[in-house]
Amino acid sequence: MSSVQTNDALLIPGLVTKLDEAEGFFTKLTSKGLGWARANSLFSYPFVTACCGMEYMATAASRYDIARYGAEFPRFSPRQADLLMIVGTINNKQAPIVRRVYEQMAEPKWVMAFGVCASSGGFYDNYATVPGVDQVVPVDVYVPGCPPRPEQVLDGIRLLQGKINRETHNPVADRTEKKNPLFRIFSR
Amino acid sequence: MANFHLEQRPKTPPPPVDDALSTEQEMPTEPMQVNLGPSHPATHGTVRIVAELDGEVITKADVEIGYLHRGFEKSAENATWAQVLPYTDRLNYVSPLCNNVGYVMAVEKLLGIKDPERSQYIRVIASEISRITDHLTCVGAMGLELGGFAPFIFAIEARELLWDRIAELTGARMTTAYTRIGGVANDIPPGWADKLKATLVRVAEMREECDKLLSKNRIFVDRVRGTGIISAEEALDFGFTGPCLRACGVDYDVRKAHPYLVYDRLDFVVPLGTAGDNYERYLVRLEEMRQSERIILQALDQMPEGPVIVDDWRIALPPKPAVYGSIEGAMAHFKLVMQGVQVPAGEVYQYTEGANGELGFYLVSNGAGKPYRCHVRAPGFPILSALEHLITGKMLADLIPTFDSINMIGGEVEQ
Amino acid sequence: MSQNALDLFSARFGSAVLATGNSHGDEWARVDGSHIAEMARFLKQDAGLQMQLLVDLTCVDYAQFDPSAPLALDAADRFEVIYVFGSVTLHHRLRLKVRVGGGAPAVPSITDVYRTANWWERLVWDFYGVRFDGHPDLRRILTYDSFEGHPLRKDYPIHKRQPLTSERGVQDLVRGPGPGQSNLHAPMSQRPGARPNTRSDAYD
Repeated sequence: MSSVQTNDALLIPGLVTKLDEAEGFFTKLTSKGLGWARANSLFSYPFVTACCGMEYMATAASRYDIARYGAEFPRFSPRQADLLMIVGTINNKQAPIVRRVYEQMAEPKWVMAFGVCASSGGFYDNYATVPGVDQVVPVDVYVPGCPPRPEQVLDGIRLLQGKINRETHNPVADRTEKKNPLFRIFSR
Repeated sequence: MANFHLEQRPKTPPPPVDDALSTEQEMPTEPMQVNLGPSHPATHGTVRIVAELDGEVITKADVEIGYLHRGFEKSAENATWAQVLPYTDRLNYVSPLCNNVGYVMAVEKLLGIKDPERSQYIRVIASEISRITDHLTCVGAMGLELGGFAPFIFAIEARELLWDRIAELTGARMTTAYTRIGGVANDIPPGWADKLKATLVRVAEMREECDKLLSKNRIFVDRVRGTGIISAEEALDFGFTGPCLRACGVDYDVRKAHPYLVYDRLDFVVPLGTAGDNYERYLVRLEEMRQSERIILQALDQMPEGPVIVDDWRIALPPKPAVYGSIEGAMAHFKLVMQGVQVPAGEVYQYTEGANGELGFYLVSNGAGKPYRCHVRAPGFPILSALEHLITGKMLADLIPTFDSINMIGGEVEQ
Repeated sequence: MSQNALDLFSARFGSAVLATGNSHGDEWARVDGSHIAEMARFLKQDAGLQMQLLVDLTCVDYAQFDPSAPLALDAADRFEVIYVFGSVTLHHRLRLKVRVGGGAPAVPSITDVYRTANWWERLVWDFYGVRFDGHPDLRRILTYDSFEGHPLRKDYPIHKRQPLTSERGVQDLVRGPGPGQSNLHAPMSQRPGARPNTRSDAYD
């Protein structure tokens, strides 16, 4: 069962029923609401390794307040976080750890590559580093800079919030099966 | 110019052992292995500590590093002497100007040149600002990890104010790459000296605020006093330098013992501790910030006018009017950028007082435009090697303030 | 600056000191590596030297020092292990240099004289492959156990990449070792399981 909205109206215009319309309307409403909630309350896991950590601290501190975007408190447990911020260089020894942390996070989760080292390896083009953390985890937003100014980071958060709002959100995770018919009506 | 010792409040004796509870020690238990993994909020940078616990006491600890190894030394062998400079910023990334100054001084020692006096004063000011930012980060992080968010916020705001000044001076907040072989990249902007004095006043306010919040705070003091103790002989045996060594009472500061740049003309005091515990390391750092402020103010007053980089086109880039206006300027610029400064063959070990201790650069040149070997003696490396010794036999909860107060910076330890 | 220290040292170890000199203000002595532990002990304990601090321990690979005449990879003097000793009381320093080489270069360890040498020697072993006999725990420190080669040797190309390894160390009884590389070159939208909650054309 996919989260892609099937559009029967395009195929057989006459047969779109009121129930389908109602379902589609409620689903979209829930999705938008969930999207708004998730975008504006990002619990970040700052996977801080290197110099970008200093700019992360600056972004989280009082001047360039990341709390105004709702992403205030870092949750240092992957189970409780939904935004994995890879802050700093990832090298070969650290890459399995990043992967492990990413896999431990619960859906929905997003990944921000903070800094050029996480985005593409930076200028550490040698035996030790992984050229970009997207070799190990899928990345949603790249924030370049060495280190990025806090304004850039906040721009990245805004882009990510826009992306989250455009996504389709389900109140129920795909894999669970709900026997209650109400759930089957209001989620796809 | 005596060095003073920080006063010590008498410690209350521990409560007597209650006999009824002693039966707990006879219960059969197994040692538990706990992994303070490479991604942890309290590890500055990434260190993995695999600790074997007997109850709350750490019986064995294995400190594993290498999670931030970025191949600085290998990259340095593939870049020209000037191109290594941005790599040095990222070594100790909370005090990048100290690294810049240290590296460039090592290259100048190999070349056998000295930078102009104004540049030496500017380097001193830049190093001391970096020292203040490093200590602010350490003090703030110590407060944060022991539960106080407010000192962290004040320290980071003070750091931001200093970073504003550094951004005006160098162009970047953190990774500055400001110094050049033979001097510094540009002169201080007009009006910057006064702005810096005003900033220092404000930074002092916030620093004193952190001091008031932490230094006599019962919660903080109880956790850091008496923990992470190391004696002076052991500290020397482990290769400590810097605030961690001075907190044990050993009076060794490279700025006083082997004065470089213009430190011999400046009047400052080196704070010493006595007990060698986390509290003393914290207090030494706090006091060093006050002394750094003193140094900066004196240097701003004493700074002479003049050029800020040597006038030798084989070493320093020619000024732009000459590059665009004359053949010699264009040629010199081309050769410097494409081939790098031709440093004569030799080797040198140049050391300065970084924020964490003695920051040394061991450079070997074979006459080419690229370093043949560029080794950085990171002050945090030997201090971190002693962490195992510091926490073994102590409680797990003492590990956090100990790790904070030694101020291990991942970038320099793991190069 | 430390000529006095160098003289005291040479007087004590006459025959083991192969060369001395002063390079840019630092006194150095090239010594025979087999006596390095005794030398370190003397430097630390002698009242005239009082070198309590082992400041630095590093290594240089001289294989390509002269690009027109490179050394053979198992030349007997390919590596030079550098020891920098300093005194916090008398403020003098000394640099000792030991040339090693051959197929399996090795130097006695000074870990029981200076405890800080433990990690520095591990670093040299990791980067250069120079063994330290008598070291309690000689293993890699900045790279990982399954890393092949010694990265700072001149014959190790800078761009030679090692495969991403699975996790080492902590036993995971449930899941076993971590994954290796997977599906690197596909774009985000075609990586299975990457974004189950989104439309497949929402990214890219």
